[in-house]
Amino acid sequence: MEGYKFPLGVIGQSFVELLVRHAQPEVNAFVWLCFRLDHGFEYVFSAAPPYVWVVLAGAAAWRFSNWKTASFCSLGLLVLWNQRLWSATIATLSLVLTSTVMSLIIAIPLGIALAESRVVRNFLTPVLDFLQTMPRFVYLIPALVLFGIDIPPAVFASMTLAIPPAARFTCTGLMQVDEQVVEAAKAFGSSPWRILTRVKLPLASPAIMVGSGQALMMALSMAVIASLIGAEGLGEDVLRAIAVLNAGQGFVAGFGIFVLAVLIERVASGCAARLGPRTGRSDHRSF
Amino acid sequence: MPELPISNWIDVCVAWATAHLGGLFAAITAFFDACNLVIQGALLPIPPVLVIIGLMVFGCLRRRIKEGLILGFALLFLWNLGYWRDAVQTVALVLIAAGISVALGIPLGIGVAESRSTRTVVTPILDYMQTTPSFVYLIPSVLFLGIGVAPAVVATIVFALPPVVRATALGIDSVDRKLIEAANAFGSSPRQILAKVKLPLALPYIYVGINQCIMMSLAMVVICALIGAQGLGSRVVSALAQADLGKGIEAGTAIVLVAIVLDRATRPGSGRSQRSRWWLATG
Repeated sequence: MEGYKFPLGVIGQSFVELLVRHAQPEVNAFVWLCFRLDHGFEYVFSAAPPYVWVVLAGAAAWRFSNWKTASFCSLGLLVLWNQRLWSATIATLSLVLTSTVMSLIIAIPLGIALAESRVVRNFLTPVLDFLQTMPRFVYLIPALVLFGIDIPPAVFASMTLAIPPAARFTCTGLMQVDEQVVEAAKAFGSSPWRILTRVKLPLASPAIMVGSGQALMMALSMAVIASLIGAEGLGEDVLRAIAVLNAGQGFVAGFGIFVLAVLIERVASGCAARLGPRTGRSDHRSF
Repeated sequence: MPELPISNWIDVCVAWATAHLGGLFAAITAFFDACNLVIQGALLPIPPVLVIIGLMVFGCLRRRIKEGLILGFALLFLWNLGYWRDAVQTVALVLIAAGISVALGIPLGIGVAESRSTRTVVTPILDYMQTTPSFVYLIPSVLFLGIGVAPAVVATIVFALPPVVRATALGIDSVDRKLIEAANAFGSSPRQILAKVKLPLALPYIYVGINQCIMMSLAMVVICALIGAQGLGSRVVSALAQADLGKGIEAGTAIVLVAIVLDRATRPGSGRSQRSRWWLATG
């Protein structure tokens, strides 16, 4: 045992070098997509002055939650604006939205596959379990290695964290659709594709919304940690404050993250709750 | 509108707290340092071979042969990679934080399940604790307790407390009403009902909560390397800082191995608890 050490580092390094050499087009495409999405979101958020977004965020929180959340979030965002943290807030929010969009692009088809095929379910459930048990720190290493620093590795790390819950909720939602409704659709001669897109997915939409909300929260927590590998935003300010023990800056930036988390969580869960009754399933529980 | 000097106000508050509550913070720091020294001192001298064989036998007896083999293989791999010492340091911190979380969380969970007023106070706090990204907890603990073991343990406790409270409350809530009525009819006192009926029946849920708490502690302890906790996390941080790919992969794998071992060694068995595990993870 003492004499021989399994050369994991060397093997991993050469594997990644191989991957980087041969999968360069795919990696470049991912990087390009991440930057396009992220810059797009940043462009939209910078297009209007901050107070417009404060009002919009307050209105969304009021509509989907209550006036307390709305006033807390609006005040919090005003404080962030006042503290010259608006651009960092925009950077974090854009990163979160980019990661969520990229995660959902994979997670929803994955959830459909999980629900429709037993083989896929048996094969992927342990993988999803494994991904969810890992400490999130670990995801940064492969991300850093494959994509360097900046936004793409942060998006990749967020995706590993955000895909499992979104895929699971999609799968649960689809599997909870009433057998009789599917039977009825079949009896009227609908093709499997039509049943999926016109019957099952609409009925599963509350669960998919809950899953998307979970994905958003996961993306936020990862976007903050990802400042370690060079992602811009509020996490960067926290990290800098911790490094030099600057209490004021640290608390203000931490408060900003908290405001974003409350805003996203309340709006997402409110959306999911609103969607519930409209589909006519009064017995639907929001997990 | 000019920038409000909020940072300055906070700096003043922190300075005041450090000046007036310095004794308290020093005591907390000393307590956790002592805990850490004792547990590390107890765990480090045990030869790895003994630990590996012990956990293999434990896994085989508790579940299946396969379970023991997985545990043994993971530990052997960890030892071979040369991260045994770091792993023990990490596990020591996890044990302290998870132990204190469980010790605080179970009574709190009983309180939430039994008293309506506790529930109305505690539930929103737990919601906010679970909403906040873990990174944020590092700030207050490092500012009041400085760099080292103590702030890491405090941040980890805050992060890992909610699942224990929720699991305990959920377990007690889900005890069949008829059983409680039967115990009532036989003249049991509320205390007896709690200790002899509700808690034993809630145990599967509580085990799930403890498992979840341990896994969340591990996740947080690793991140706490940023504020000076020793162990595997600090290896990852230094690998990230040097962009040393090989070292990063090795340290990351070591964390994964520790996570596998802790999860498998503390995971309760039945299918029902597996399902509620998912419920807890998502809140």
